[in-house]
Amino acid sequence: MKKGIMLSCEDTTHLVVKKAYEKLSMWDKMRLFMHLGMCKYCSLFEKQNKFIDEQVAKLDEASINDLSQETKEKILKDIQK
Amino acid sequence: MPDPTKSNNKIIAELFTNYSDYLYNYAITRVNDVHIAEDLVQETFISALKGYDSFQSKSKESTWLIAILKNKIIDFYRKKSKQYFQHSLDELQSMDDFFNSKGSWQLDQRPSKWDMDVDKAIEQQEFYETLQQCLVRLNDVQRMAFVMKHLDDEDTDEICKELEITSTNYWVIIHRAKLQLRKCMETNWVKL
Repeated sequence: MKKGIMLSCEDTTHLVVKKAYEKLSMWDKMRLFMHLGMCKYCSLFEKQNKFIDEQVAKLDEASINDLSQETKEKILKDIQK
Repeated sequence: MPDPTKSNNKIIAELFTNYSDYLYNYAITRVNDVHIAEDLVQETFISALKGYDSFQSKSKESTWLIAILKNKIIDFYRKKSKQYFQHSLDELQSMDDFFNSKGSWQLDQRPSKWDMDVDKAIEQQEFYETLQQCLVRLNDVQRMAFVMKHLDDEDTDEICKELEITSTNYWVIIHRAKLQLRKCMETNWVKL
């Protein structure tokens, strides 16, 4: 990552991703704030990334894959052998 | 709660009826293979049957079953060779497809505006299906690292230990996974 105050988009998205899991240093927060303020693509990335995170957290409850009845019967029979 | 009047077989059959779809859904998101997911569900119930007498209903049945399944999934990933992991790590290092040499967005990767309203019921199902398909397109290491964090809420150090990767590699894996997921959702859901 570059040392100066101007971050590249690559470094910015890296910090955006990291921010969701860990506390950033004051310096990184400042650099991030500056870049996001002037780059519409990275600020869209930040919003969409956050949105995806929120939705992924609901994925287990969404229950979109079911076992077929046939498979269920087969597995149940195997378990009870 | 253990009920002495019921045989374990019967109890497991009941648990199976109630939770097999839930467990299968949990497994498929994490392993990306229908047959492996089915096997894992089956093994989970076999272990549950063996261990039922020691299950003191300290936790909910679903929590107990998920804990068994989770261990089986981690074992499944552990069995994959380190070589395989190393190979896919090398592949993941380069960000050239997302950013140019100056670190700016490649033209075809630039995020465009999304309408983020998934509350409409008809679209909801479609949305989660797309999300899952996009998760499936990540490679094994990425998916595992991502899923352990987001669905299982595990500590970063713990994930690195379980997948035998350094924390630097972990951030590269996650960064790339996020870029890919975003792009995949933009292509397949937003522009439907």
